[in-house]
Amino acid sequence: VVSRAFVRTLKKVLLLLTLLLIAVFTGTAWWRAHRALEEGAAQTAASGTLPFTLARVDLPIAPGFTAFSAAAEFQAAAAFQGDVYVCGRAALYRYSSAGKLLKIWHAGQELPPYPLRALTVRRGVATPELWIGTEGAGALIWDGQTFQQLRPQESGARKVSALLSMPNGTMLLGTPTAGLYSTDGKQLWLFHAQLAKVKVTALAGGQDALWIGTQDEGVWLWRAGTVRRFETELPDQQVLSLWSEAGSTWVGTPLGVAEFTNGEFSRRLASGVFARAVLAQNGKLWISSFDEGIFRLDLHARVPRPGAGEGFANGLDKSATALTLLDGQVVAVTAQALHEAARGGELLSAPAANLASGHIAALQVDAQRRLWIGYFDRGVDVLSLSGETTVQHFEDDVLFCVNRIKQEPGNGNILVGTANGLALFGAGGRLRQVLNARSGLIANQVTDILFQRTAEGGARTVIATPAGLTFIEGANVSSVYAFQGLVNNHVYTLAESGGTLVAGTLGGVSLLKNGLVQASFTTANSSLRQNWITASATAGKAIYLGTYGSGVIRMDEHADIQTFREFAGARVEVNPNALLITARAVYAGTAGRGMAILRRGQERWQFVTAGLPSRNVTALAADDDFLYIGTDNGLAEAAERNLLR
Amino acid sequence: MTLTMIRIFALMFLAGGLLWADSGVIIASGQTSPDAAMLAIDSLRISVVIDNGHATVHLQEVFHNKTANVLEGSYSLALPSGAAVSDFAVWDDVTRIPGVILERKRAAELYEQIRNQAIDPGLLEAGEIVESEASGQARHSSEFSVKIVPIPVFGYKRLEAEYRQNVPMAQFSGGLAVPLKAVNFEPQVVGKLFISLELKEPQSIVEFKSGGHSFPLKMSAQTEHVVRASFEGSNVLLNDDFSISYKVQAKPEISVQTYRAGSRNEPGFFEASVLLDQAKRAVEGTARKVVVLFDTSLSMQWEKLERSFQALEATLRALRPTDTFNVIVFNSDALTFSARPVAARPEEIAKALDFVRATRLRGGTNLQKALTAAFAQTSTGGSIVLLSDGESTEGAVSAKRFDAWLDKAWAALPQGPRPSLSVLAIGDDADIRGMRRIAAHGGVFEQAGSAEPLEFKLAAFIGKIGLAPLDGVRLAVAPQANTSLTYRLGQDDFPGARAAWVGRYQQPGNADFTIAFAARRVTKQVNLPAQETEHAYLPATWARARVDALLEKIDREGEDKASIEEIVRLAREYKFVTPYTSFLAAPRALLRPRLIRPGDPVLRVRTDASIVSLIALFPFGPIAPLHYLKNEDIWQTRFVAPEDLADGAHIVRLILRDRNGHVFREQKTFLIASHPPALRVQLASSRVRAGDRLTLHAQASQTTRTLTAQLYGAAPVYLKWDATKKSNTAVLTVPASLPAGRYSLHFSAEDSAHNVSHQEVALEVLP
Repeated sequence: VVSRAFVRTLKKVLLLLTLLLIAVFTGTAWWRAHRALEEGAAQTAASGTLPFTLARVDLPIAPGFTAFSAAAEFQAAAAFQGDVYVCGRAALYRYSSAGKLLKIWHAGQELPPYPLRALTVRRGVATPELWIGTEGAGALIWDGQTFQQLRPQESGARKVSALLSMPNGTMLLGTPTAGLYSTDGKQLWLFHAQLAKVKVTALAGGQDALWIGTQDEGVWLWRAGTVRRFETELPDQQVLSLWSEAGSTWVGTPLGVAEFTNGEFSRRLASGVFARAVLAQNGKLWISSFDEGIFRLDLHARVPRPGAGEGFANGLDKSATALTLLDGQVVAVTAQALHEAARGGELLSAPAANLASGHIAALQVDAQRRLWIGYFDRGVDVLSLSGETTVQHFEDDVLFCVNRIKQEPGNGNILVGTANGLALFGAGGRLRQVLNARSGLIANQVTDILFQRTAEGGARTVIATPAGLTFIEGANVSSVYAFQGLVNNHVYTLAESGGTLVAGTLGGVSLLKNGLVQASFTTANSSLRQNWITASATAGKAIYLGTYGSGVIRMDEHADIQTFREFAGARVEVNPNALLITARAVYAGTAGRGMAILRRGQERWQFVTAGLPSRNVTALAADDDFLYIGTDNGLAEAAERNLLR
Repeated sequence: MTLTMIRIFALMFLAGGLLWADSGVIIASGQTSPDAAMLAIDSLRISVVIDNGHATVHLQEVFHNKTANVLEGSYSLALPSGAAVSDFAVWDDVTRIPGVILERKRAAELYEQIRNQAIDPGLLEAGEIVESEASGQARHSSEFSVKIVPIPVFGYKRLEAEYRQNVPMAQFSGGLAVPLKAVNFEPQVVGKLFISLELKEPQSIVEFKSGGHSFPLKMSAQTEHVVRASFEGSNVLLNDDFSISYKVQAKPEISVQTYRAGSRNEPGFFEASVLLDQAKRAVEGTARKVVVLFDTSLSMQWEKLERSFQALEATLRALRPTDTFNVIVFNSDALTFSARPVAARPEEIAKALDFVRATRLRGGTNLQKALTAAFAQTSTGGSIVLLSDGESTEGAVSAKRFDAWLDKAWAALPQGPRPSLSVLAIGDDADIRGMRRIAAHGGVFEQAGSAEPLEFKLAAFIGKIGLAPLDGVRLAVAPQANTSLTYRLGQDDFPGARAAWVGRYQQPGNADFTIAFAARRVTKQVNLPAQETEHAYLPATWARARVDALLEKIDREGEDKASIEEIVRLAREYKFVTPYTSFLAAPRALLRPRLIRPGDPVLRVRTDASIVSLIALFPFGPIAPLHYLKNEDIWQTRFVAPEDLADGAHIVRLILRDRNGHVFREQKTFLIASHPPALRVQLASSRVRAGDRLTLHAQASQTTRTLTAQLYGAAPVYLKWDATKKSNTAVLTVPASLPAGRYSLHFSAEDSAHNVSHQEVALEVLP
């Protein structure tokens, strides 16, 4: 006979033993995972850590640059030291917890001239830090007082697409083409040999199970030192977003979400939803789609079905770029504001902006001192330079993707060349006419515009397109292309010197008189180093030509070509029609080296990057003493005299 | 605009396809070219039957999925001009799923239903419109393409396609080519290739040749009227097209083919034909006057203009110095090379060609003005040659009005020296019926589609310029009441051609067939049989002729319900596509439901109206929602290609959502061609003598589409890839009349994005 007391004691002992076993098992698993992480890091370290610099961000003082405020384009948000930090493409914003804007750090001013992409708080260290991933400058680290820059030597590792803080303080840096890196702030390693080339889009998890979302290889799971890839389990192989919570992970793709439990695939959710961001909390899965607003799924339901989040059904920006937790509250990060995901209420908003977009494609100052700003894909803004307030915004089927803006001498008309035709504005700023292929242009896409006088003294407008040239003389519209002898159909830039039309193309330069090709120059028959001519500007009898790869060259009236030492040996791409000549200097916008400047009378070019919102200078314009410098990440203004000082 | 984005000369085309279609190719999704390691052609059986000038080409292909994944792919079949798909079927395991012809509206509805079930249906429509590259102008396609899904893991997928094509006869010779050589890709290897050919010819076959050395035919029968041959091989590299040519005896005998199924209620069909053997009317040595009308309107941009120029140059260089010529370039206006025709001396021809090259393209097409100018040049006779797509946009635009004007203007010309009007219709979108009507004014008609070589057609076309067609070519059948709805096939009344008619007969019995031409009459008594099924092509050939006649009527008089209903009925019964019917290759195929227009660097996608959201996933990372441009009914976005993105074909994925929440995934190919093709020329000798044949060798980038060389005074030659020599080669004949001296041999290479490279090589012509 066994007494009841004995049975109770036995039960207690068994319970304790079970708990002990669980504790031992869990501890062993944690220790093994931890050790594997360290071993993995140690193995990588053994093969050599990667060179990088960690230094205080100390940009040279920009010579009088002023940034025009562009739409914020919020990317991510995080709470740090009691405030809310929001990362836009061109600036980092600090808000109080009540939503009051406290401070802005601009790319190119206080921060390196690269777009900002990701944001997270590093934990597991004595003093938490705010890490900001950039598209070219590595990671920026804010401790509340100063910025430091962790800058890998390898250029691919300087483009950060995702950041994750591990509980032990290790930071993971995902890159769009160069794999996954880890750092403790002192050393930088490639995280795992098998992940050396993955295109990282998202990171989630921790030391026991790390999830790595990729652009084209599904999702990788790193666990206990080994990696495993899931692809067929996902609705699509492109991973857009990840969230891990209590042993479960949700993988957002363009065609729905896959759920994993304890590292194993469990089910697919939200079929067909473009899951740009995911976040799970309290049995609910929040999904931000690209085009349908925010969904909320009850994960405990037998068949979870997406339902619209309250407040997001109408009225609010439906395209949340990210979902994040702020004080335990699910927050949707939209382009211009942060909202409560549950009710849609606005928590904070971006400051008012002058510009519709930061991606500038063309600039022109007109005779009325208005700055015409053509955007990559947001139409045209017209700003009064006296007041710097937006006068008008134009955006429609034609005024959408802008390439070039020119003012016609004499009548003051403004011509806007776009991917969908040529828009003509009257001097008063009213859209008067649109020309396209149906009207006689050789193609809809207009890349450059030039105004000429004909031999008879009439007016001629020359339109460059990827299919050749169109000449407009009154009601007479005619075209030429390679059939008529143009060196290449793809014409990017036009200039004129002494009555000769110079057409810079993908395949060299053609010189035309009265619409007939007189001569063409390529690398095969001239001293051109590069056939691809992207920009041109006339200076007296000479023409400066921007090239794709060989910087700027000068062609004199005899078609002799002069090259410059600063462009020899280094690959310098001049952006299309990003060449400007003033009385003082020649300016060239480059794809990655900022703005090149050649003072008149000198033979040496200098490169300026400080003060620019990006090193990718896409458009230039001048007005008296001021230069307007458009980039792919904003617009800056500088007094020319300061610039040349 | 950033620099990097201008690198895109995006040739957005349809799933997996580049600008020129390839025949019998499957490209697996996610790939940009056929990959035998993934999807190999296990076997290909080609059956060609040519019966009295009517070819039926049947292709049966078996593809092998060599991967452990279920694949989907895009199958494309380029059609020669005048060819029409008559059948298409996909095998799903042991089940053959044939395509069906449906009325267009019904086909569109079914297509939608099937597509909503996440199965891609295929839809082929006559005159389907795609958009040309940079201009954005619409053009019609001669390509049939379908999406094939699923192709099982390590499994096989069998496809069948059939098309019909007339084999025209010129100078008593006929020829047919079945395109097999890849245009855009590396030549493919076929595990097992079997080609069978049956040539049945009522006239005596005096010569038979198979072109090329790649497919040596084994003859199993070769009689006066029949040739049977075959080829069989394993692991065959498709680096050549399969082609044959034959010549028949010039005997003006009537031949009559018949078909009757045997049912008492069904009519029988006949085809009566004769070889027009009359001697050439034009007296050798008599000076000719040729006025060429050269279309430089915007619709002629790119290939059509190049082909027109090729035709112009060949036409002018075929003239003798005693002949005279003039060239009128026309668009909205008409501009004449010379005030009056000039002697066809080499220097005048060179000047005329330069004149055309220097002429700018302009908006519209005014055929009326061009012809008026040509009539003024030929008031004393001669030949007018029209090189155009015939899309008249100014002057008399409607077919009815234009035809009335032309007939009146033609009648007003002095009857004796009235000029002939020959037409070379350029391009897949040419107004064939309208241009045929122009050519009916004493001239010759020919069409040059984009998917076929021009040389053969051009030679036949030029050979007839200046010749007068035979008068009074007509057929009479007695008893007349027993036959009905008889139609002439083609309109070639020139010596050496075959004149043929198709018609129906009601009752079996004897009939007298009489064909008259050039004051001659040829008669034959034929027994129209109660049952005869050998010439199976006849019912469909007649139906096609009947539909063409109805379409002509609609062109002239406008649409009427009865005509449309009859067209739909005949098209469905005999399986061919018309403007009122579509070919639905259900349920697992697709023909371009959407259309991407190239841009630089703009991505444009046309969808059906149900799509409410479209997002592009670019291979280099960015995700961009496309904006719907209402006025253009097109979705558009712009993208930046990274600097390190290599030249070549890349894939952009599209996620489409319709108003019912259905989500579709598509992928499209775009081409980055940031560099013109590299070109390196080698000459065996830089010194030649007039009349010498010089072999040219050139290396050019893989992206090169056309590679030409031209010497002053000579027509350009096209260099073709020669695998044995590992070089592009051509033979150039130095004109015998070329004076000694130093000349430039001009090479140009053009890629699919119309980037052009040039190289000039000095050539010394020795005395």
